[in-house]
Amino acid sequence: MESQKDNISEHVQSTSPWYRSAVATAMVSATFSFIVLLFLVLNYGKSKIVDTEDEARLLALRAQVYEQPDNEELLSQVRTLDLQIRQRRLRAVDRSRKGGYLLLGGVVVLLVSIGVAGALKKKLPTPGLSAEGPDQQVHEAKFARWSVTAGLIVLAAGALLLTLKPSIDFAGTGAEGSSIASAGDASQNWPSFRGFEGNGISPYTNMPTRWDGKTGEGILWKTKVPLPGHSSPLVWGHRIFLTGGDPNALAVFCFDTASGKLLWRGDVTRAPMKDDEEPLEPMEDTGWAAPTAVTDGKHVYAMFVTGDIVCFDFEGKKVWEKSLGVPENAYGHASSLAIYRNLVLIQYDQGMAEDGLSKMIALDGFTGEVAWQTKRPVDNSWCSPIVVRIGDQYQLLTLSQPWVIAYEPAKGAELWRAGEFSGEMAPSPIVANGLVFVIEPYNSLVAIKPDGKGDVTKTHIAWRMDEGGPDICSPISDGQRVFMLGTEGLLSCHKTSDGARIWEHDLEEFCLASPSLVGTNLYVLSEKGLMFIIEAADEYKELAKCELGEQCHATPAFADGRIYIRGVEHLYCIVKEDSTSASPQDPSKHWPSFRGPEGNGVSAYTNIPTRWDGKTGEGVLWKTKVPLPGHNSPIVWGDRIFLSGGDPNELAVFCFDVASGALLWRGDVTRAPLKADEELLEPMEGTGWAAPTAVTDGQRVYAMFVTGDIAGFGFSGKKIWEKSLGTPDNAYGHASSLAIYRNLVLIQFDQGVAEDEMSAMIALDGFTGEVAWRKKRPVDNAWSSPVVVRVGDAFQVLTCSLPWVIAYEPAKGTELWRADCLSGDVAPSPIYANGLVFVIEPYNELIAIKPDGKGDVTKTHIAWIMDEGGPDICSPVSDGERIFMLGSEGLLSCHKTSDGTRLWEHDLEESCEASPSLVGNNIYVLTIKGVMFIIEAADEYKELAKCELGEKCHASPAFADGRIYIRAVEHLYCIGNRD
Amino acid sequence: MADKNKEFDRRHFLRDGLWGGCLAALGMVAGSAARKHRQTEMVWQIDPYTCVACGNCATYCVLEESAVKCVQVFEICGYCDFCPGYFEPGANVLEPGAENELCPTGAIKRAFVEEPYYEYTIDESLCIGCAKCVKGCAAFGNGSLFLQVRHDRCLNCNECSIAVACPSGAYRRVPADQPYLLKKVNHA
Amino acid sequence: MIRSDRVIISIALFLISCGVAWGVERFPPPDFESGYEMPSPTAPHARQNIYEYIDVAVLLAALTVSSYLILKKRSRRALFVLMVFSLLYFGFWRKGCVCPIGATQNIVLSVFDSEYVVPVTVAAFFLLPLVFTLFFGRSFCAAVCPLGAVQDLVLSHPVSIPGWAESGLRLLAYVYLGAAVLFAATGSAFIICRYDPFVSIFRLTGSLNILILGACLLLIGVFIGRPYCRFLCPYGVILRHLSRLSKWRVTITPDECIQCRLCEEACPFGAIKKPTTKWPQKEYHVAKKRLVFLILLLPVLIFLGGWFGSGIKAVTSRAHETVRLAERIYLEEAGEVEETTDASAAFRATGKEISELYDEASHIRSQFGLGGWIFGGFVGLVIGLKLIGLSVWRRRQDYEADRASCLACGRCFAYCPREHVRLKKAKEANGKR
Repeated sequence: MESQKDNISEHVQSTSPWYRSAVATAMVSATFSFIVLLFLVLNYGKSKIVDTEDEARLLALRAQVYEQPDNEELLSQVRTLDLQIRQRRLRAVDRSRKGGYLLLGGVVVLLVSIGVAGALKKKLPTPGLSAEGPDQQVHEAKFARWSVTAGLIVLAAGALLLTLKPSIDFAGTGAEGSSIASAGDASQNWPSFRGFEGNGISPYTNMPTRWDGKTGEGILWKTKVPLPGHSSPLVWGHRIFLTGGDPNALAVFCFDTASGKLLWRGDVTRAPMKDDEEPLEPMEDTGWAAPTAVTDGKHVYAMFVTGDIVCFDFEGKKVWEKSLGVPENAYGHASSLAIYRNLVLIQYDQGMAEDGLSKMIALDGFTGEVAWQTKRPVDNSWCSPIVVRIGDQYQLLTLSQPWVIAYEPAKGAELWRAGEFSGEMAPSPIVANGLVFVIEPYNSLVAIKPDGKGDVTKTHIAWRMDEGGPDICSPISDGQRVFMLGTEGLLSCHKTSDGARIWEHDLEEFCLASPSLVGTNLYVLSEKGLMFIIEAADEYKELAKCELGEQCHATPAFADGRIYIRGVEHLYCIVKEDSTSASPQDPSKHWPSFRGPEGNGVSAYTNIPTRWDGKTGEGVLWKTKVPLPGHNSPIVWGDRIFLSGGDPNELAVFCFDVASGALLWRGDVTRAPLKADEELLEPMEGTGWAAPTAVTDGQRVYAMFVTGDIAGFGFSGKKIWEKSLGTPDNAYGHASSLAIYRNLVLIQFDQGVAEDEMSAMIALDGFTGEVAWRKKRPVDNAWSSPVVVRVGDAFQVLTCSLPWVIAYEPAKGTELWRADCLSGDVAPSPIYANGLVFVIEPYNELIAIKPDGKGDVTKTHIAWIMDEGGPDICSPVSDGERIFMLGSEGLLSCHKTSDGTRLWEHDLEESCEASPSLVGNNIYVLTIKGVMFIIEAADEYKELAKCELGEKCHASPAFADGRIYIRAVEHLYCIGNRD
Repeated sequence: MADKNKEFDRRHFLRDGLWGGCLAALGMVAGSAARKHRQTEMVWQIDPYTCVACGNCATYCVLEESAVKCVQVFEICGYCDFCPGYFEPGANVLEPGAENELCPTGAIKRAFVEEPYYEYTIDESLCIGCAKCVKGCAAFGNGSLFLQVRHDRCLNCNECSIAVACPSGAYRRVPADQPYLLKKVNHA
Repeated sequence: MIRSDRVIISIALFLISCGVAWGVERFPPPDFESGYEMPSPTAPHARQNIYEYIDVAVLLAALTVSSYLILKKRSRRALFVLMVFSLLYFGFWRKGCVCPIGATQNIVLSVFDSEYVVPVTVAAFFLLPLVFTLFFGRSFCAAVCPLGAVQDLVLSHPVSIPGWAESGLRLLAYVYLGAAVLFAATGSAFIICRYDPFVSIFRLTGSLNILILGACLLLIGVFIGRPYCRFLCPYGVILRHLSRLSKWRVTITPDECIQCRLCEEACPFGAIKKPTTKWPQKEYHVAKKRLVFLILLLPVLIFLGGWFGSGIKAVTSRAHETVRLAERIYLEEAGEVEETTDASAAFRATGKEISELYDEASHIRSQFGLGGWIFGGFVGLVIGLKLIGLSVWRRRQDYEADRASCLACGRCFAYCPREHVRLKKAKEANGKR
C-alpha cells in the first residue's frame, strides 16, 4: 500500500482533505472501539459479580424452600430469580460475542485509517551526514555486550531465587507416608465385627470377670443409644462407633470411652426410592442397622440394611455417602463390612445364585468410588467377609451358599473356592491353626486348607464334622480347639486337628451374639444379657456368670481392660472391679457427701487436729479463696476437694487439690432458661445459690443448685451431663443436699406443700443423668437432706419432711416404710445410729424410729419421743449411746439413744449453722463466728479445746485422714498437722 | 589475493555443509514423524469412567460456552421417577421447577413415558457441562449421565485447557474417527 | 504401525477394565409396555481429516507465494495482501491452531515420548516453514504467520530501538524456546500454546489474562515492530538460524548498492545493517584480549547455566501434574493441609499406592534435573556465543538486510532508488511490447 502511495505523497501537502478525513475516521473509530471495549469490560464484570451474588441468593432461597415447602410466594420468588439468572447469562454471552466482533471491526477501521494517514503524511527520508565512524560501532557493540550481560545476571538471579525456594522431598516417606493405620495398630483396637481379622479374639487379657447391671457394680458407664440396631460396637483409641436405624433415620454414633458421652451423631441420607419398589421392611431380627461398621483409624464406614453406605471422619464430618441399591435379600442386608488398607469390602449377596445379583464390592475409602467388584455365583447370606493374613499374603474370605470363595483383597482376583455348602448361611468363616473353618447351619463344620487355587472342593478340605453346626453365631478358636455356639445355647468344643468333639454343654440360654475369646476364657453373651465366662479347655468349666439386666443381640467389643456391650437400648462399658471405685465399702475412707459417707457426720479417722488458730495461721496447712460463695459443705475424695458455689449470674463446681489447695478445675453449670411465666428466683440470704452439698461416687462429682439445675462432672473436670429439674417451688430455695447410692444420685426434691403433690424423690443415673426412678412424696418442702444408710444388710434412703419420715429402697425407689410424726419447717437431716433412726421436729421433739417396719409405722415402730425441744437447723450426731443436738443459738444437749433421757445441756453462747461432727469420741462444733468447740462425747459436758478460724462459717466441715476442711464465707481452709 | 579466495571458499564450504546438515536434520524429523504417523487425527475426549465430575469443564474451556456437555445413555438409564441427576436430594415434590432441579440451566427435560418411568433428555443448547447431574446420577443412580466433549463445538486446541485443569486425568486424545467414549451397557 | 496398534489395544483394555470398575447398576433398565423406544445419544462428528490436509496445502501455497513475492516480484503491496489473507485464514478462520510455533512442542514430545504419535499434518506444519526458510529466508514470517501478520498490521508508528536493547531482549526468545522444549519433552505442558498471546484474539474469546497480554503486545506493536516475533517467538529463533544459511534471501536493492543511505530508516525491525569501516587501531588489542577471555568463558557459562537449570528442578517439575499431585498428597499425609483437592481425591479413588506416586514424581523430577542441565547449558551457550559474536568485527561494504533478523516484510524495497529504476525498466519493457 505505502509502496505505491509514497511517490504520490511527495506532491501531497500534509493538509490534503484525504489526510484530514483519514485522521477523522481514525478518531471516530478509536472512540468507538474504546466505548465497545468499555462495554465489554462492564459486561464481563457484571456477569462476574452480580450473577455470583444472585446465585448465592438463589441457593439460600432454595434452602428455605425445603424448610417451608408450601410457601407459594417463596416458590415463585425462587423460580423468577432462577429465570432471571439464566436469561442474564445468555444475554451476557450474546453481548460479549457481538461486542467482540464490533471491537474487531472498530480496530480494523482504526488501523486502516491510521495507515492511510501515515502514508499520506509520509516524507522522503532525508538522511543527514553520516556522523558515525567506527567508534560509534564500537560503542554499540559494547552496549550490546553489557545488555546481554545484564540479561545473564537477571536470569541467574531468577534461577537462584527459584533454587532457594523450599521443596518437598519425597524420599524416605514410604512408611509413615501411608495414610492407612498399620496392621499392628489395628490389631490393638477393635476395628471391625469380631475385632481385628474378625476372629473374635481380644488382644488383651485383663478383662473384667465380675459385674452386675442391676447394682451398677463393675459398670463404668452406661449410655442410651439413640437408635436401635443389631450392629456391634467398634473401638478405636478413645472412640466407640455404633450404627442405628429405624424406618425414618439411619445414623452412625460415636461415643467417648471415658464417659460414654455421645461425641457425635452422623445422619445418613437414604437413596431416593424407585417408586415401583415397595418400601423395604427388614425383618424384626435384622432391623435397620444389622451390618457392623468398620474403621481404618481415620474414618468409620457404615452400611445399612437399605444398601446405603457412608463414610465419616473421626470428628463426625461426612466424607462421602452412596447407595448400592436396595439388596434383594429376604431378611435385609446383614453382612458386616471388612477392610483392607483403604478398601472397604462389601459382601453384597442378593437373591439366588441364578439371578446373578450377588457381588463382592470394594469401595475406595477416601472417595467411595468402586475400586473393584466381581460377581458371585451365590445366594444371599448374612455371613460377614473377613480379611486374614495367611502366610505372607492377605485373603478375603467369603461364605455363601454354595461356595466359600477367597479373593485377593487388593484387586479382587479370585484365589480359590470350595463348595458345595447348603443352607442359609449366617455364621462367618474364621481362620485358625492354618485352616479356614466354615459352618453349614444345622449340619457340619468344615475345615479347608487355604493354600489352593481354583476349585479346591476335592483337594483341600481337611476334614468335615457332620454332627451339626450352629445357625447364627460364628465359631471361635484358640488354635487347638474350635468352639461353636448354637442359638439354643448349645456350646460344643472340637479339635481343630480333626474336628473330633471334645465336649458339649447346654447353657440353656438363647444366644445371638457370637462368642469371643479373651486369653483362655470364652465370653458367651446370651440374649437375656447373661455373660458366661467359660474356660477354653478340654472340659467345660464355667468361671463366672454376669448379669447385665438388658437384652443383648450384638456381639460385644473388647478393649484394654474393658468390655463394651450393646444392649437393646443402652451401651455399657464394663471395667475390672478394682479399677472402678464405686463399690459400697470404699466411700467410708473419703468424705463423699454432706456429713460424710453415711451422712451422720461421723469421721472414719481419729487423727484429727485439735489445735489451730486462723489468726496466727497455726495448724492451717493452706487457705484458698473460693471463687463463688455458697453454704454447701466441702466433699473430699482422694486428693480432691469439691465445692460448689453460685451467684445470680453463674453456678459452678470447684475442684481443689488437697495438698496445695490449688484450684484444679472449675466446672460451670449452665442454668436452664427461665420459662416465660416464671419470675426470677431469689433465694433468701440464708440459703444462697449453692446451698445443697454435692456428692461424688469416686468417678464423678454431682452438684445441685438452688435453681434445680444439676450437673455431673468427671474428676478431670469434664462435664458429663447436666439437666434441670425445674426451679423448685420452695420459699427458701432448694437446700437439701444430694445423696449417692452406687451409680444413683438421690435427690429429695420437695416443693410447695403436700397438697400440691409436687414433691418427689428422684434418682438419676450418674452415668447419663437420666432418671432411674422417681417417687411422688406427699410432703411439704424441706431442707433436710436424704441419707443412705445400711440397715442390717440392706440400704435405706431416709428422708424427712413435714409430715412424713419416709424410707426408700435406693436401687428401685420402692417405699419401705413411713412414719407420720413431723410438723414445722424441717431442716435437720435424719441420722441412723444404734439401730434407730433419729429425726428432729424443730423446737419440739427428737424422735427415734425403728427402721425395720413396712408401710406406715407411725403407730408401731416409734421407739420413743423426747419432746423437750429440738434444734431448728443443725442435724444431730451420735456416738451410739448418746445423741447430741445443737440449736442455732448454741444450745448443745446430750441424750441417751436408748430412751432419749437428757444427760446434760450446755449453752455455748454462740450461734451455729454448721452441724456438729464426731471424731473418735470428740464432738466438733463449728460456730458461725468460726470458732470450733471440741467437746468430749461423754456423760457430762467437757470442753477440750476451742480454736479460732477468724472467718465466718456456715457450712459443715469435712473430715479426711488427719485433716479438717472448713469452708468459710470466702475461703476454704485445710487444717492439719504439718508433717 | 589467492589465500583470501581460499578463505572465502572455506567459508562457502562450511556454510554449504551446515546447510546440508540442517536439511538432513529436518529430513530425519520428517522421517521419524512419518514412521510413527497415524492415519487419523487425534481429538480430545473425556473418559467417563475416570471423570470425577468436578465441574472444571464448565469453566476452563477456551470457549465462552464450554465444548463439554452432558450426554444421556438411555440403555443405562433407569428412567427413575426420582432421578438423582434431575432432582435435588431433598426435593419436596417430584415436579420440575427451579427449586427442585439440580441443573442450573434447566437443560434436562423430564418427560413421562409410562407408569412409573420418566425419560430424561439433555438440551445441549442449554447444557453448560457443570456436571451437577453427573454427580447425582453417579452417586445414587445408574450413572447414565456423563460428560463428553462435543466435537461440533470443540476447537481441538493443541493443548486443551480443560485437560490441563482436569483433576483426574480423564482427558485424553482419541482417534478422530471414534471421537466419543460412551459408557458401555453392562447387563450380565 | 505396530506401536499404534498397541496403543489402540491398550486403550481398549483400559476401557474394559474401567467398565468393570464402574457399573454400579442400582436400577435395572425398565422394559416398556407402551412401545416406547430408546433414543440413542447424539454424537456430532469431529472435523473431517480432509480439512487438515487442506490447511497444509494452503500453508504450502502461501509459503510459495510469499517466497515468490519476496524474491522475484519484490512487491510489498502483494505481500500485504497475502498477509491479510493468512491472518484471515490461519488466524480468524482456523482460530490460530495448529500453528508451526506450537507444532514445535508436538515434534519434541513425539521425539521423547514413544507413545505419543504426532499427526502428519502437524509435522508438516512444523517442517514446511523451516524448509522454505532454508531456501528462501524467512518467507513464513513475512506473510504467512498469522501472529506476525496481526502485529505487522498494527505497526503504524515505528520507533527504532537501540541495537543493544534489541540484543538483550532477544535472549528472552531463546529462554522461551528452551523452556518450551523442556516442558514438552517431559510431557508436562505446552507452554507456547498456553501463553499464545494472540490466539484468544483470533477466537474473540479466551481467558482474561491472555486477552490482556495479547492486547498489550498489540499496543506495544503499534510503535515497536513485531515485539513477539523479535523478542519472544521460539519458532523465530529456529528460523533466524536457518535463514542465516538460506540459499536465496531478501536484498534491499535489486542489483547493486549505491550507498545512498536512503534505506537507513526503512526497516522498523532494525534489520538493516550499515556498512562498516576498518577496525580502529586503538581498540584492536583490547578486543583481541576480550575475545580470548570470552571464548574461555563460554564453557564456564554453559556449566553454570546447566547447574542453575538443574537446581531449579523442584520448581520447574511442578509444571507436571503428577509432581503437583504428589506434593499435594504429601502435604495432606503430613497433615499440613486439611481438606483434599479434587485431584488428590481422584487419585486416592484409584487406590494406587502413594509410595508409587512418590516414586513416579521423583522420577519425573530427576528427568527435569537432566533436562535442566541441557536447558541451562543451552541458555549459557547462547549467551556466550552472543557475547563472542558481539566482540568480533564484521566487515560490510554495503547496506544489507541482516540474514538472521530480516523478516522479509519488503518495506525497504521502495526506499531503494535502484528498485525504482528496475520498476521503470520493467514498465518500459512492457511498454515496448
